[in-house]
Amino acid sequence: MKRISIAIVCSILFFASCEETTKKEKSNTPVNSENPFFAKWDTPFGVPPFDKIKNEHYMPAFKKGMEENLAEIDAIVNNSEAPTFANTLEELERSGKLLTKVQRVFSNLTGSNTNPKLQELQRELSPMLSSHRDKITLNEGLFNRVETIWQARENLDLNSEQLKLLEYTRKRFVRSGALLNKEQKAKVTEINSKISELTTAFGQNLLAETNGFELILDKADLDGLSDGIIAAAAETATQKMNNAKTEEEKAKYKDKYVFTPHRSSMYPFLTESNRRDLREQLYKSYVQRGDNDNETDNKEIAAKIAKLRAERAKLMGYETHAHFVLEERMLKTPEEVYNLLMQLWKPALERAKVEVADMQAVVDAEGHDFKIAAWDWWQYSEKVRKAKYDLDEAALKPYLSLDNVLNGVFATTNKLWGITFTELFDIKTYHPDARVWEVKDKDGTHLGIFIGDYFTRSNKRGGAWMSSFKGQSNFDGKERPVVVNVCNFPAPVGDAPALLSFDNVTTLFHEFGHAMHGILSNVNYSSMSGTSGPRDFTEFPAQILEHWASEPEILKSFATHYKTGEVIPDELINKVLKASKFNQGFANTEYLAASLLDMDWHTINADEDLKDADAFEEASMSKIGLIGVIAPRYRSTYFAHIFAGGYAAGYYSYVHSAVLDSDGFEAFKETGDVFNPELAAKLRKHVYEKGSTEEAMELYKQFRGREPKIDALLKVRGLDGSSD
Amino acid sequence: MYAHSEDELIISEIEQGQLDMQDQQMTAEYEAALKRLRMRKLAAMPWQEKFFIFIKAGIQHIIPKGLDHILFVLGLFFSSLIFMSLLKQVTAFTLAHTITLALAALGFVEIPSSIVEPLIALSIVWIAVENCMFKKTNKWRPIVVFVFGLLLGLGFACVLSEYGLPNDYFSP
Ligand SMILES: [Zn+2]
Repeated sequence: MKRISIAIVCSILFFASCEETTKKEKSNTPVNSENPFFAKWDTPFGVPPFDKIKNEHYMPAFKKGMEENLAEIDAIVNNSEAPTFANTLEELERSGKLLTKVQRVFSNLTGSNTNPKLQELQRELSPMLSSHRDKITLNEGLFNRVETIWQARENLDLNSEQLKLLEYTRKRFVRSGALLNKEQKAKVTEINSKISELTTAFGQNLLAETNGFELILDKADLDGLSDGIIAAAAETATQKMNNAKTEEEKAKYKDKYVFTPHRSSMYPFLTESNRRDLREQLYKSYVQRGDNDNETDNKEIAAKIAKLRAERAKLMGYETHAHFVLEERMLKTPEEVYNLLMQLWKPALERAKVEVADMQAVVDAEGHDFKIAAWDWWQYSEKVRKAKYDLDEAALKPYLSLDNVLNGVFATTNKLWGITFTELFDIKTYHPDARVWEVKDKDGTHLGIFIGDYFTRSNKRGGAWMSSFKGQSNFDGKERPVVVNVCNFPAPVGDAPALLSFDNVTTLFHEFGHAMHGILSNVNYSSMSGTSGPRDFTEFPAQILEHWASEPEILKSFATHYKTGEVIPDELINKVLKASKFNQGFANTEYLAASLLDMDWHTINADEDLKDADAFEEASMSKIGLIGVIAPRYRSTYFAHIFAGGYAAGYYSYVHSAVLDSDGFEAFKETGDVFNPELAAKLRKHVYEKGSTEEAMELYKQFRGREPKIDALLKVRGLDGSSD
Repeated sequence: MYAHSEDELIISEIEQGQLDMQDQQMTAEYEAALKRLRMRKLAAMPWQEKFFIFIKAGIQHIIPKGLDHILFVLGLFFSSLIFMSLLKQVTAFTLAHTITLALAALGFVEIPSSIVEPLIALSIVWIAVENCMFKKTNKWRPIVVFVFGLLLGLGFACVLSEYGLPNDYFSP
């Protein structure tokens, strides 16, 4: 009997261990190798089948997608029938489905959940995609069909949305040079390739300059720094040591602390370090990037880019590059932009001077004998903040758990438009922290899918953004969108809920506003849906939602203490509101200075005599009277937004949207009801639903009843002299 | 596709530095996120469904994830067919099992399964060996069983945590 028992025990143990190994083997074998991008997605609501998409599926899908797209374009061009809106514009709208499908997933995941393989693919794909785009916008046959329709537009009985689609499509060709003669076209192509080389060089230089400087400190140099900051600097040193190739290089970082000109490393140091000399070193390394007269200098490059852009604009028949850019924006001319910026400039600068005086008073009271310099700003503004505004973030956070804030934003949009949110658990996303909600309209009809991916992680890009996995259209049947918000809030520790700062709350509402712009969209053609509008308008639907986050009535409805359930006290709310006006002189001045610098660079003439960026920038800044203790948010040699990115003559957009959102929210306040149903309905109908199917200014006027005014913005930012 | 143009990627790489992706940390982040997902799922379930889930967990605990428990109890059973002796051993086992399960589930003790699991295997073998060596179950058998019960309780807590048993399921 006992022998039998041993035998049973042993054999069962054996089988048990067997079962374990077979399980593991199973999970290691590759899944069915069929490419999910080539199949129809039978997932609920058309959410991409994330669990089936593997790294190796992208490239074949991209290649086939581009191939199909070009074949579709050929079919449109070679159609023997005369060009019509249906056989050209609508067919164009239908084309490129596969490419769009893979591109949306790819560009989202390279931002929010990337890996080394995807990063490599990204570098490989970027030139392929831009040459693909060129093949379409430079296709003469295609342009000729579009132009024929454009010329006949008045007799075609098109509705306003169709006219707009026609106009946009034609503009895309014209702005790439379709109306130029052969010689001019060749010249534009030549300028384009020069610009593209220079912008790439600008970005690479800047990257090298930013990574090139490091402040290597000993334990004795850490005076004033908090534990968290010290730990991060030690971690940076360890990383550098691990990446070092030679023993000698490794020794350089051993037991040291490293700070870099990356903002996340520099700002905490400037705020906390008591070593004024080191603050100066780090700060100067930041503002001198690209301006060190070495092989990675950007001074000449910046000037060359600006001049080439001016030359191209002239060729295309525009006065300056800014005129060329603004044609497609809500503000139509450089004069309008300058006018807006200069209206804000004076009050911002005045406020900044008051802030300097406040800080100088602290310096004097401490018994120091120096004048506030640029590298003192963070440290002394923090001291002023503590004394004057005294908002303890740690006391505030327990009221702002992520789930409470989400309930708050859901309740806000529910009160505005009657829409509801249901969290879904049976849809697989790309990461377990990416949550899914179904959004339904007042009457229960499906509006779209909202994905919220809130916590920071090591394979997610910094910052916060909104994007979509699927667009909206009412053309060829109803397509409802799948949109996503990605943020970088600190992940909760252990089983405690995630607690947000008030800044985080504002960010969440902001991105949610973009998401609403995507979800409420109700247009026919997907290319004009959601957030597709001009840059100086699309921030408006996002930024206006932020205002509800700081309404006391709404804050009280969602901000309850996660342990005790106590509602946020009035005193704390007052402090939050007061603190929002803190340091606004500085923030607005540095931002406006950069915006004006951007405009100056892009309103030059092609034959302007300028050699490098320094002299130009100096003249530009002294013209507006910028004070020495503030630098433009980006100086020319590291203004990647305009010299390596797409913000040329566009950096002003943020503040323009801010004018709109402050003025727009003021409309609600004027009625005495921040949920005024009539206004809410207008906002939805004329802004959130319309995408870019009408001129932005028209949309705004239909909602507001008049053009925007800047007064509300000055009040919100404490620049109307009421602060203090 | 909003805010995803290539130029913004360049800007972010310059301003924030490149991503530092380390496998170990990424795995830890993923595990933590997975646990959060389970918690949310559970919190959103109606009680009937929760009840069902735990019944299912209970059954799965016995087969196949609770093979260790079956073996152990079988081991006890093979050692003696005398009712009183068996009762004592089973009671000792149940008591011990409950204590460690509660402690582990409440988060008071946490011992990695890489230590617990081999010890459990050892305990089963021990019971089997003991069964073969001695004709009669000796007096300290219930104590040995008690100690092993403590161990198996810890093991069960590991299984349960896979289902994401949140702390607030215990009313204090
Ligand atoms: Zn935004």
